[in-house]
Amino acid sequence: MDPKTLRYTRDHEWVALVGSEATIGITEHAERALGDITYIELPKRGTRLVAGRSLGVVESVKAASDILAPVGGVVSEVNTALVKTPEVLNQDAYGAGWICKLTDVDAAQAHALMNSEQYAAFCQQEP
Amino acid sequence: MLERTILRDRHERLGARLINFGGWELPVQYDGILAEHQRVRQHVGMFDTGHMGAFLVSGRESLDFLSRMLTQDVRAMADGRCRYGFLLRENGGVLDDLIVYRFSSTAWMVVVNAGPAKDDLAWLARFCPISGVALTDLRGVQSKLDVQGPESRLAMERAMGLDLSGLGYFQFRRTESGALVSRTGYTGDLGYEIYASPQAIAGLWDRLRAEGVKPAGLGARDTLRLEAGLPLYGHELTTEVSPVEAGMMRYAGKTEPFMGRDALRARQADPGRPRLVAFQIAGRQSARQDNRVLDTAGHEAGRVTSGSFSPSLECAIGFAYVRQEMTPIGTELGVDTGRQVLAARVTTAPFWKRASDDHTHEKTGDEHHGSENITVYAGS
Repeated sequence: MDPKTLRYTRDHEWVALVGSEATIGITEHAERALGDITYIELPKRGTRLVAGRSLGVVESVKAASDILAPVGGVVSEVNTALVKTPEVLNQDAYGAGWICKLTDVDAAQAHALMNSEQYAAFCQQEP
Repeated sequence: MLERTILRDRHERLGARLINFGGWELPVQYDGILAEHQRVRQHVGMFDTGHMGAFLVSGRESLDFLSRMLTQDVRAMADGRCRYGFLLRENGGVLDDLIVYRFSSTAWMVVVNAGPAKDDLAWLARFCPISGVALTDLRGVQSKLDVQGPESRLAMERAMGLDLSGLGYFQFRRTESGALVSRTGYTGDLGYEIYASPQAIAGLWDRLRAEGVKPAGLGARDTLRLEAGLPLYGHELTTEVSPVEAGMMRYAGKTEPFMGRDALRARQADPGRPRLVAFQIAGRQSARQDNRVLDTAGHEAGRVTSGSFSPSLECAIGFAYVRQEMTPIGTELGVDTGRQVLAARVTTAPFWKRASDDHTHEKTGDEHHGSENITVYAGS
């Protein structure tokens, strides 16, 4: 994914929207803050996600953090490879580290999120 | 303001993430906890431990004084040896865990944790006789770094120009330049702790870097010590517990009276006191400090003191205080992370042991080999 084309939450998730389908993940800022990621709990296929609610958990050696759904939708695909190799989230957060894909997404929800420039400015303010 | 070690600016230049640890600004990681952990396990790594407290205890009464104050059998120690043990309150609560170094029967060094160091010194001063014992805080005068891992001897010999082949476990030596090299550590691996002036420590750090030794932060220090089954003050050891609950009476078993001994006997006889157990979780998801421990009926049975993913075992491990009937090896526990209950099982510590153990053919004749071989005995 080209980070410039993504939308971002204040909780450091990203979403790539194509029509009513979305791919979501966590940002490089998030994976860097967490440190080495050792565990991820993924949502189940068919689950209906609500924007802002927890879809899973990501853990590093030092911390655990909820992953919040950036947009609502139905989980259509899950990146199960991350279960065995969660370090991919550190290595390629915007590519091989994608978490899940959604269908039935309300595009307006995605467009309400920050674009890459706004997100970069937001991260600058965060410690 | 946070305190700084002599190496603090070097950490910053290396891009380390600095945090507050016991009032000190210290690196939690440089290039990543897992990489630093594996480097120590497979090769060598070094740690800035300049935050730790150290006191000189000297004078003709120093042996009797330390014998009363510490759980170590200091009378049985030979010069050039060090031992692991505790500073206890009257009620047996652990004020600190520490290593005592014997230079001679009238000169000792006590090395303590950074957080409780001030309280430790005040406690020692309170019971110190008016004459015959001098207590000297080495803060600011001396600093420290640890070199740990299977290649630590080679790195140390090259950087310091020493032959360390004769230095046994829990032995130490003074170098010509006045540095103290101790074969001890907090990783369960072969390793050394070096005490010297701050300037000398900075010079040694630079020489070790030139030899290719990379630094490791507090994050790796924590996962390494946890795998080795070593307690961390403020987690497994606090003033709320004694060596009885911690399963560490082998470090408080001398026959001579000492501060807290009577309380330890009373605690041993009390079936209501919890016990420390080591536990393993089947998956990678970790328990964390203060998570509730549940029995199979779902009732609260204790609290987690430390928990982390273990890079060497590739599963989550930890320590918890539980009711005495929960201590047998294999006992099933639930750990309530607040999100879910993880299935755990009581096991033995250390979780990890190094394969080529050269301690056996380097016996020092000292029965108290210190903290490396702590076993948290179930039901002890």
